[in-house]
Order: sequence, then C-alpha cells, then structure tokens
Amino acid sequence: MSGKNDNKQVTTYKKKSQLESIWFRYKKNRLAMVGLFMLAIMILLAVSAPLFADYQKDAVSQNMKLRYLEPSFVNGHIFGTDHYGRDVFARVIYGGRISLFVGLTSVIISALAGTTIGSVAGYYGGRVDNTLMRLMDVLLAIPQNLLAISIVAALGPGMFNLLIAMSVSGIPEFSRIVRASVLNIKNQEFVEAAVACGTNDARIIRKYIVPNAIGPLIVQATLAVAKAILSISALSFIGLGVSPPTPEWGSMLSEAKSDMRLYPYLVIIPGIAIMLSVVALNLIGDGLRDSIDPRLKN
Amino acid sequence: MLKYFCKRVIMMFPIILGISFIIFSILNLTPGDPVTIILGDTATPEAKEALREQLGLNGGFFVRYFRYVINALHGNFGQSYRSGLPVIEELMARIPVTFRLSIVGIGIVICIGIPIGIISAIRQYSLLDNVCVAGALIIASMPVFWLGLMLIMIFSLKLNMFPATGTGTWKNYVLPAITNSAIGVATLVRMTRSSMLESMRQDYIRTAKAKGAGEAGIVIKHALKNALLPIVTIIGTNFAIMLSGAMITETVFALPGLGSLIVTGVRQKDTPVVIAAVIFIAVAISVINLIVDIIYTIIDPRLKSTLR
Repeated sequence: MSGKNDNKQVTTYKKKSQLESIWFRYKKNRLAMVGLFMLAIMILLAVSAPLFADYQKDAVSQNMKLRYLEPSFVNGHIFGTDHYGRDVFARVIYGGRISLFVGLTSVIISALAGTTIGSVAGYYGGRVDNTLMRLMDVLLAIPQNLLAISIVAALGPGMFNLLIAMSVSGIPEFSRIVRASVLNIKNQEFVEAAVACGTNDARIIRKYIVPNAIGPLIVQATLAVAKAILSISALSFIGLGVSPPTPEWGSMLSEAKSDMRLYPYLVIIPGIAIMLSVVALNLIGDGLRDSIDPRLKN
Repeated sequence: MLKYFCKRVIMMFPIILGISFIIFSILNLTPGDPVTIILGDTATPEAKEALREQLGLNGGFFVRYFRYVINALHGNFGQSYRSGLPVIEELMARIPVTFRLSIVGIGIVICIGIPIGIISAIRQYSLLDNVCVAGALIIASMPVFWLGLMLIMIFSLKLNMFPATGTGTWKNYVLPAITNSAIGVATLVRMTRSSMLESMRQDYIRTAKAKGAGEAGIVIKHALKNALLPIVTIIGTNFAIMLSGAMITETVFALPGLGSLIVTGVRQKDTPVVIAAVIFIAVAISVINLIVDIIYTIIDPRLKSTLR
C-alpha cells in the first residue's frame, strides 16, 4: 500500500452485513424484543414439554378422582385439572407443540409454494402471469377460513388434514405478495443492468430478486403464523381440527364451554395461551417490518 | 364511470363461476357415498341408483358440475342430505340472522373504530393513545371464540345482563355483535390512526392551520377525507372477515345463521348445504369488494382516471 513506514493506528470500520444491520435495528425496538422473548419461552416450553409432564400420564389419560382441581401451587397442578382429571398445564404445553408445529409447518409450505408461483408469475409475466393470477384471484375471493373449512369438510378432521387445509388455503396470499415484490424489483435498474450484462435467468433470480424479496416475505410469514394459530384453534374449537384426546388450545376451550359457570379457569387459561402466542408473533412481525425497511416506519 | 361499473359486474361472473367450481371440486373429494349414508347398507342397487339420479349424483365430474350450475341458475341448489329440504330454503331461513349480525357488527366497527382512531392520532403518544394502541393489539390477538366465551361468562353468567344463546329480542344480538366486531374495531383503530397520522403530516394541513382554521374543522374536513381510502379498504376487508368469521360466533352463541349452517353441514357431511352456503358467502364478499371499489372512486375522484 503506502511506501512510508507508519505505525499509526488506523481505525477501520468493518462493513456490517445486511443481517447484522437488521438485527441491530431490531434490538433497539423494545416491544419487538419483548415479543421475541415471549416466543422464545413458548418454544422452550413446547420443546422441553416431556421434562415438565408425561404425555400419556398427564395430558391424555383420564383420572376421575382428580377432576376439576382448582389451580394451585400446592396440589401439584399449577393450572388445575379439567373435566376428565387431566392436568391443564401439561395439556397447555403439549397443545402448544401442536399449535406451533402445525402453524409453522403450514406457513412454511404455503410460503414455499406461494413464492414459487408468485415469482414465476412476476418474473416471466405475459400469459403465464395472466393465467396464474386469474387462478389466484378466484382463490383469493374465497376467504381463507372458508377455504380451509371446505378442505377439512372434504378430507375429514385430524391433524394431517388440518395441515393440508391450512397450507393450501395460505398459498394464494403468499403468491400475491411475492409477485408484487418481484414485479417491483424486476423494474429496478440493477436488474436491468444484470440483464444487459447477459446474466442468465436463474442467476438473476438467485442473486438479485430473491434477496430483495425475502424481507417482506419473512414479515408476512411471521404474521401468517399468528393468523394460523388463531385459525387452528378456531377449527379445533368447532370440532374440525385436531381430534380429541390430542390436546389443543381450541378444543380445550370447546370442552370447557359447558364448565364455564363453575370452573372459569378452564376457559381463561387456554385462551390466554393463544393470546400470548399471537401477541408475541405480531410484535415480532411488526418489529421485523420496521427493522428490515426503516423507511416504512411511521 | 358507468362503463367501469358494468365492466366490473361482468367480470364478476367468471369469478363466481370459478369460486363455484373450486368449492364444488374440493367438496367432491369427500370420501363416502351419500346415497349409502341416506338409504343405509341394506338398500337395493336399484333404489340406490334411483336416489343417485334424483340427487343428481350420476355421471362424471364435469357432467355433475354443469348440472349443478344450470340448476343453481334456476335457484335449485339441491336437497340437504340430512333434512331432505331444498337447500335454498335452508339458506333463506338462515340468511337474515347472519345479515343482521354483520350489519350491526360493521356499524359498531365504523361508529367506534373511526372516532377512537382519530382521537388516538390527534393525541399521539398520550396515555389515551398508548392505551388504545396496546388495547387494539391485545384484542386483535384474541381468538374470536374466546372473546365470546369470556363475554358470556361476564355478562350472561355473572351479571345476567344479556342472554347467552338463541334469537328473539335485540338483546340476543348484543354479545354476538360485540364479539364479531371487536377484532374489526381493533384493526380499524390501528389503520385509522396510522392513516390519520400520515394525512396530518401533509403540507395542506399546515396551510390550513396557518390560515387559522379550527382544529375540529381541520381534522374532519381535511385530514379525515384524505385518510379515508385505507380506512374504507379495511372496512371492506372487515366485512368479509366478519361474514366468514360468523361461523365461529354463531357456533359460540348458538345463533341459527349461515355460519352455523356451514359448521353443522360439515360435521354431518351434508355436502349440498355446505357447497351452497360457502359459495353464497364468497359471492357476497365479491359483491362487497365491488361496492368498496365503487366507493373509492367517489371518495377520490383522481382514481377515476386510472379506471380502465
């Protein structure tokens, strides 16, 4: 570099990668960090559920002698027991596994399928775009919940069918968002420059389009998991989701309906579990949105 | 303007046809033979074939679909597998309840959501604003059916102010309407607030203030009118959500509406009823979206020029 022999300290600034900048901005958002913290605890509880309670003994098998115990720290059931003598805490954390698993998996599937459809439609345009989008328009005209319930109606209740219903009904929304993103990016100058240099399609998609489209996609996916958890519990509530005796927050509420008058804790506790998960995911989604593109902040 | 309106209405027909095709296809995947369910295992093959023809279940998939569409255009949506009554009768009996619930719901959403959103925006960062924003987030994160159950617990069981189930008097609709509209109110408060904040930062507001206009005048005449577009979008989306969410609310409060018809239809595998009810709701939502688009052009005449 320089011919002079200098021992001076030179301050160099290491250029932050995009991920680091996003994390830096996210950390500054207190609410978003609260959301992340809440989600972390929930995931920890769900994953380590066997450490707290045994699935067969506590969550599923009935014990008529222990029915309707009030929540207390003394009798070993901090959330009490239900109609069948099952430990409510155990059911809540195992139910959390189901909600998080089905919610996350269905959103991942919808996002992958939706991204494929949306990016093909957005990038290639023309007749491909028209056909795909007409199909998506019709699917979008049917509300997501109705579409999911129609699929469950056809296939029958059960966790696997619920997963299929949730995945398929989420695809149109993702394809619409990704298509809009891709159309936006496609028209920018750096893509035009890449095409002018003779870069092939696959490389353009991989190096330019996907990294720029992934931001809004992640935000949407986070908010979609929140919506999915609400839908899963709603479908289970009306008996069209997970079948008993599998613990699920929605079906726990459905069973608690008849016990509302005397045992309100059976209604309050699962509801709070659902609410806290959704609040956490919403906070994270909003935080991600603000940190990925700070210009969008109000 | 009229040309755009006509064009949009005409475009709705392929979409309605598409919706009916998709719902019909999905529900045709249902395993099990409805004829055997109705007549039982001991029925003779001739009896089964006769019932199959009567219900329109013979022929291939596309034959059945076209037959369904032609019949639907004549108002014949088939017979319920459970009750044997024409599906159209069951629909007509249930529509008023859902309709009443939705209208009251959207009324509550507009009358409460918009004022609170405006106040929240005007008094940004105040205690009231923070409470509203936090409250909106919490309510929007609640499952609808949980809110319904909690309302029943508090207002029906403990305070005995409103009945929990059934229809009859206006009191029966209070708790369901609040349940249905709570999430809509929360969403509308957030959207109104952010839209108003955006609108109030504009230069024309500063001009109005400089010219000495009073605060109320500025808020209503200038800020609100310009903030209206996203607000109307959310109201339209909310109506759609309310119609599809009626399934849950009507089940919780045991109201005999379209939503609970779908739920019982799915549970009992009464396919014709489910197909017709789902198509009806999807079509109603398409119509509402069309009306929202028309309202856009009334609110913002600049959009008229973008109409193709």
